[in-house]
Amino acid sequence: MSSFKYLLALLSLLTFHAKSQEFTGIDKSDEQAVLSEEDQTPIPFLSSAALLIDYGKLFGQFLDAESKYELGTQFELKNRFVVLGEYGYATLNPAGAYQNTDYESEGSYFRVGLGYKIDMTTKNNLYFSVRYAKALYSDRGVIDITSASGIFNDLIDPFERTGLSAEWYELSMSSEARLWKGLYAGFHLRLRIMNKYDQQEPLDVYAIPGYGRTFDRSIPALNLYLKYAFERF
Amino acid sequence: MKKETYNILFLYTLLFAGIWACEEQEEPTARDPLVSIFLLNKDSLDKVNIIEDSLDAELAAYDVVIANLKTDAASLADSLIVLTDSIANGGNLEAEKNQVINDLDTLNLYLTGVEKEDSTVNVRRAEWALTAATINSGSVHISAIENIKNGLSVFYEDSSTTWKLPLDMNEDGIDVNITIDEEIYNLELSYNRSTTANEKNRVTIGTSNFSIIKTDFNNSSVSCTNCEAAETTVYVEF
Repeated sequence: MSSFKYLLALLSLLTFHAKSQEFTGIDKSDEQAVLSEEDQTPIPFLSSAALLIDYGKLFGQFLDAESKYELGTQFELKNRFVVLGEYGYATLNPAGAYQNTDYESEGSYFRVGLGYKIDMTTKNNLYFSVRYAKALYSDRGVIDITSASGIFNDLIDPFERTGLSAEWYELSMSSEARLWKGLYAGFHLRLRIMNKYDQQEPLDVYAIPGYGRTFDRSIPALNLYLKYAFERF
Repeated sequence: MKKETYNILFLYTLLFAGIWACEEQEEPTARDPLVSIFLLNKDSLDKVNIIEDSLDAELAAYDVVIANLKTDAASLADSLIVLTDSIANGGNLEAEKNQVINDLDTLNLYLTGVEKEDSTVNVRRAEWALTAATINSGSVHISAIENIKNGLSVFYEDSSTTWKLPLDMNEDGIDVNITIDEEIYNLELSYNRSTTANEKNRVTIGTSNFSIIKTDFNNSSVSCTNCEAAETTVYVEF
């Protein structure tokens, strides 16, 4: 099911990206003219500062399964090098988690990283970046098992683990298209690689805010974002 | 922003809503930890063994009688041949010959009757052997198991050879009364509990290291390989 989700989302994004390139309304000759003008303008050291919002996560607000918010900031140096940071807060109640526990993990996370920007056209950018991420979170649940024979009491066993942390790294490729002035829409394709997290017994942490499910040491992820950039060139 | 942008964003909204709407609903978990119990009806088995021994003795006696009758029949047949030869050589032995023929007919009739009885006993012996095998397999009808601590009982309709004793998820032991053929047997067990998640991520209570604290059953014991519940059998006789 999760692979199917990724496939659907990726197909849609590729469509979106192609569409965005179509409706920029700039043909190749115009593009060359703009690029020539830009070539003659000196690019400041801090060439752009931007705010990002992960709007894909906002869809989860309509569901019981999760609640996620994520904001980011991005600074571009010489229109090539990127310093970025992201902060998020999530409450996860993933389907497929320990089924009879009403499992939930909740907490905040941040990512910081460095990247490199490639101007594909005047309206489309491509980024490659690496990020370090850390989450501080707690998880909780109530083990609920009914006695099938009916001669013993049902088991209702609440648990809560607080002060947990996790660290991971991410390799990311991002693509974005300008929608209007400094407003961009794009996506991050990430590979999250777990470094360490506080493992628990007897039931291990199932999901970490910002990372996802713990049973894989690396997880691909897809994020959709809107960005507004204050560009100085 | 152009109209296409709104269309694409609307499409995303539908796409994500559709994917999340397909999430599966959880089902409630209803199960007890279980441990196998093997119940041998030793009293009945002992009675059946006595019957089997008796039938075996009867069959052995029949075998001796049949063997003797066959020997006698062979001897009479030899006598008949001698008498027939003598008569052929002019001997006046017709009366003796007729007597031997009558004796041989009587003996064969008796032999047929004994062999029929032997066959009947053999059938009965096989039936009792089947009964013994059924008892040895542990086939028992437990009519009820009662949790002594709260008086609640679970009832069973059919006989089975593979009984699973329900265990308490909240305690490290059980104290139950097991009813078999209107006889009540007490069994108190202790065990260790652990919380585990199975391959479907359903959390269950695992049990291990069983001991019998006290029981009304005879010759009770616990056998295990790794001593997890799945590899453990409580053995009792009654």
